[in-house]
Amino acid sequence: MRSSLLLLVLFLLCAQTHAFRYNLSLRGGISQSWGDINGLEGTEDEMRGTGFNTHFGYKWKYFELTLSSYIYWGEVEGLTFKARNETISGEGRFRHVSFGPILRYQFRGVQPVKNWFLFAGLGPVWSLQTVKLDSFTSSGPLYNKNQKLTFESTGGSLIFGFEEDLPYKEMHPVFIEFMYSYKQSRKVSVVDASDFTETNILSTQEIGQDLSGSFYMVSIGMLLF
Amino acid sequence: MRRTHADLNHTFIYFLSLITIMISLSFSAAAGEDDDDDNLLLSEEQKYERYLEQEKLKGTRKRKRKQKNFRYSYIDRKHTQSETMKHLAAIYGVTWVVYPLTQPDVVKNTGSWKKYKRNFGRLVFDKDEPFWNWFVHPISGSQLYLYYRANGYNRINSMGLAAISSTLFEFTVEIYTEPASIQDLYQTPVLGAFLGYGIENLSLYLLNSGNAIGRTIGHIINPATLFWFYEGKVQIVPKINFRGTTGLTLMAEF
Repeated sequence: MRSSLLLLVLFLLCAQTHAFRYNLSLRGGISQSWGDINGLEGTEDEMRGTGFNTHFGYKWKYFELTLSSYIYWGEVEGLTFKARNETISGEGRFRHVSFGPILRYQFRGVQPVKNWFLFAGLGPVWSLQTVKLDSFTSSGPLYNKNQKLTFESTGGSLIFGFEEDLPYKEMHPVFIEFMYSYKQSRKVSVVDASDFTETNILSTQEIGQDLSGSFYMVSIGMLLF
Repeated sequence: MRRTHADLNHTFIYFLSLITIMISLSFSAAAGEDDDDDNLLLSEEQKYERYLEQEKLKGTRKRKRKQKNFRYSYIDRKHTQSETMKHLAAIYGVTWVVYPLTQPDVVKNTGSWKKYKRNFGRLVFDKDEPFWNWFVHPISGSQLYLYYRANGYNRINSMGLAAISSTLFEFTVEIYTEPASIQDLYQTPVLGAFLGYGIENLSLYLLNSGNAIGRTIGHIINPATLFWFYEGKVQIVPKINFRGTTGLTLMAEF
């Protein structure tokens, strides 16, 4: 009984379908993100952001390796950061950009809806989060409203989703993807943002965990070509 | 009945005329056959050349010809390795000129060969404003993508070549002022291809819309369609004659 069940599962996972394979592709779409961000001194915030995602990769028979990027904008409040030995608290705008390779496996036999198959994947993430505080309090004189804080973070992501099962990529299959990622900042920089044409980095510090958090994201998109 | 001299003369002239007519008819028939033979012996290319010559002659007969209605599209084709290398080299050369021309202050104030040496091989997350990372670089990437599309590369290859071109720029040109950036390396070709795909479709729609404003805007957003290297400007002419030949003649400018 158990072996037949195992065989059935194996069959479902490896069932042959006619989707495109052994090909390069570019996907993209829009994303909505929710995050629990932790700042210094136990401060935390529930962040929401909206943006877009892109994936460029190569697809084998069942595996697919993509170089993926997620970009979104949101707002933060009630978080405390530290830069140049100053403690800064406040609220403002939040930008996030992340890059990383994601290895996906396509469970071609698992089709909860006809012609939509399940996929799952994981990969490391490198990201840059930028916080531009509109109203804040600072323990020192150095930080001002023309400056922004950038956090370079590393982490990992787990994804699963469903993609339309179409024979040719020219038919632009669409997908929906759910992602969980955890990121922890490694480096904080204070950047002078008074002139958008020039990037003047005022200071950079290696830090342990100034900004960290779990992020959840829903993305929908399509294969472009 | 006795035949007179005049009758004989008349008969002789009659036969002579008949023979002359027959000879002339046989010559004209032979000439016609030669023409047909010539046509049969001609290759498709020669026939096409003859057709073009005839079209050219027709053009000279008319004083003022109506402007040709071209169809704008993209024709994917295979390229030799040397051809691809030439394109990459051409774009690489252009970046060395365009960068100091478009950002003279940055190059003058912050650039140096000392910095070039220091930045060589470095890769960082840049802290630039969104205007640069999410606007300028994707637009540059889209134009690179459209350049390669105009030269007959398919979409994936155009994006790949745009990636190579922007990587060369990031690692060997822009380091005169700042180190290579992770965001730019990814976003220039990828977001550029997204944007380029949209511009490609919109510009083709406008260029084929048939009105002057549409064509102008189409060329502005996709300037690669204006240059000599654009391979997608085609003219489709319906060809119907009564010798059993019916079809479409596709003429493309290379």
